[in-house]
Amino acid sequence: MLALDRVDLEVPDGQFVTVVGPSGCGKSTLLSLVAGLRQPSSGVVLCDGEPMTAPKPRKVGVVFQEANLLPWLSAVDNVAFPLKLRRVPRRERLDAARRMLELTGLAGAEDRLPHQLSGGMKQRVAIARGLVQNPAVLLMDEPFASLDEQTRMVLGDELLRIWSETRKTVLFVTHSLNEAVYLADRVVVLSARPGRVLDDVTVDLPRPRTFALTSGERFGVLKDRIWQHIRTAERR
Amino acid sequence: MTRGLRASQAALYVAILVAWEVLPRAGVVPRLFVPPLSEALGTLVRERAEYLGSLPTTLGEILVAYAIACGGGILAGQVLGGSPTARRMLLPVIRAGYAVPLVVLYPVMLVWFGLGPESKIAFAAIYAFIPTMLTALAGVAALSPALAETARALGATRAQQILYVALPASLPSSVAALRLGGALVIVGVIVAEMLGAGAGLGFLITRQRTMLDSPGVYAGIVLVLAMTGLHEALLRRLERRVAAYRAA
Repeated sequence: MLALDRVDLEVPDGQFVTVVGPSGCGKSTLLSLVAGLRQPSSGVVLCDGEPMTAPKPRKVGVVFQEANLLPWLSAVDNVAFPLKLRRVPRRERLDAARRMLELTGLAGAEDRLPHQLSGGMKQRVAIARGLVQNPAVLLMDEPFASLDEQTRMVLGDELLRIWSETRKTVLFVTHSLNEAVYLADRVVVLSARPGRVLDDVTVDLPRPRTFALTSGERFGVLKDRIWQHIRTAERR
Repeated sequence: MTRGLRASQAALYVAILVAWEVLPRAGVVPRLFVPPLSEALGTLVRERAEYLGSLPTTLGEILVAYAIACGGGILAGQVLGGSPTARRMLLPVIRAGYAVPLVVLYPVMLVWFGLGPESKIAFAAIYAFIPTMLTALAGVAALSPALAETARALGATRAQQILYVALPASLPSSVAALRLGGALVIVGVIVAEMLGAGAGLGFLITRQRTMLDSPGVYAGIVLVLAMTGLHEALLRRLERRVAAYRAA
C-alpha cells in the first residue's frame, strides 16, 4: 500500500517545520524515512546531501510519541545510551548527558529510574537523549501526544527555548493544529493516504512566541487555512 | 506489606509448627503417620552423619540437572522468543510434550542410565526443562518492539540491540524461569531417588519408610523443605533485585 506519494520537501538549516495531516496520512512514515528507519520504495531522502540509508543518530536525532526509555537505566544513563553505543568513554558521555538534562530542565533528576518520572519528565529525558549527540536535525513524532494539555503546553514552550538555544533543524509531526502553528516557522499539510503535500504554510508570527499570540487574529487565520485542508481531506 | 499482615503470616507459620508438635502427641494424628516435629528434628540431629552424608550425592545431582534444565531452558526460550516462525512451528509440539506425565519415563531412564546419579540428572533435567523454557519464552515474547525500534533509531547494531535491550529486558522472566525450574529440579531429583537409587536423600527417606521409621522419614522431609525453602528465598531476593528491569 502506498503511504506517501510524490512528497517533495526541502528544509533549510535551523528551520522549525511541523507536519500535519488527517489520521493515517503517512506523517509517521515520512518521519521514519527521514530517520533512515525505513527505505522509500522510490525516491531518496538526503540529509546534508547524503542519502539516509540507515539511522544516523549523530546527524538526525529522533524523539517518539512514547519516551521509550530503557526501564532499568537511570535518566542520565538513558540520555547517555546513544553515546554508549558509539563507545564514548563513560565519564565523557555522563558529562554530556548531564548537560542535556540541564538543558531540558531535569537537573536533579539524573539518577531517577523511568518509573519514578512523570510522563512529561520522561519525554524531557527522551528529548535530551535525542539531542545528546548534537545532531543537526531533530525529528519528533507526536512527542507530546500522550501528555495532558497543560504539560503539553509547558513542554512546547520548553522545546522552543531549547530550539532557540541550539538552533536545530526540527521536523515535528503532530495532529494538534494549535501546536503546529504555535511552534513552527512553517507548516506542511499532507493529504489523506497516500500523503501528498497539500499546502506549505509559512508562519509569519513573531518570536519568541507567547500564549497571547494564540488568541490573535493572525494565529486564527493560519489555523483556519490549515483546518480547511484537513477537513476536506478527512471528508473524502 | 502492612505490619498486621506480616504478623498474621508469622502467626500462621507458628500455628502450623505447633500443630505438627501437638496433634501427634495428643493422639489426634497417629504417630506412625506424622510424628511430632521434635522427634523428627531429634532424629535429624542424632543421625546427622547419615543424613548429611546423603546430601553430597543429592546436591551434586541437583546442581548438574539445574544447569542443564535452566541453562538450556532459558537459552531455548530466548531463541524461540526471538523467532516468531520457530515459535509458531515448535510451540504446539512443546506444549503437547508438556502434557506427558514424565514420571512414567523414569523406569526407562533407569534402564538407559543405570541406578547412579545419571538417571536422576536426566529425569530432573527433562522434568524441569519445558516449564522453564515456557516461562522464559513468555518474557521474551512480551518484549516491546518499540524499545527495539528506538534502540535502532539511536544507532544500535543488531548485536547491541540484543546485548543492551533484549537481554536486560528478559532478565525478570529469566529469574522467574530459574525460580520455577530450580524448584522442579529439586522435586525431580528427590522423586527419582525415591523410585530407584542406591544413595541420596530421597533414597534415605524411602529406606526409612520401608523400616516404618516415621521420625526418620520426616527428618529427611525437613531437610528437603530446608533445601526448597532456601532456594525459594534466594530466588525471591534475586527477583526483587531485577524488578527494575520490568517495563516502567
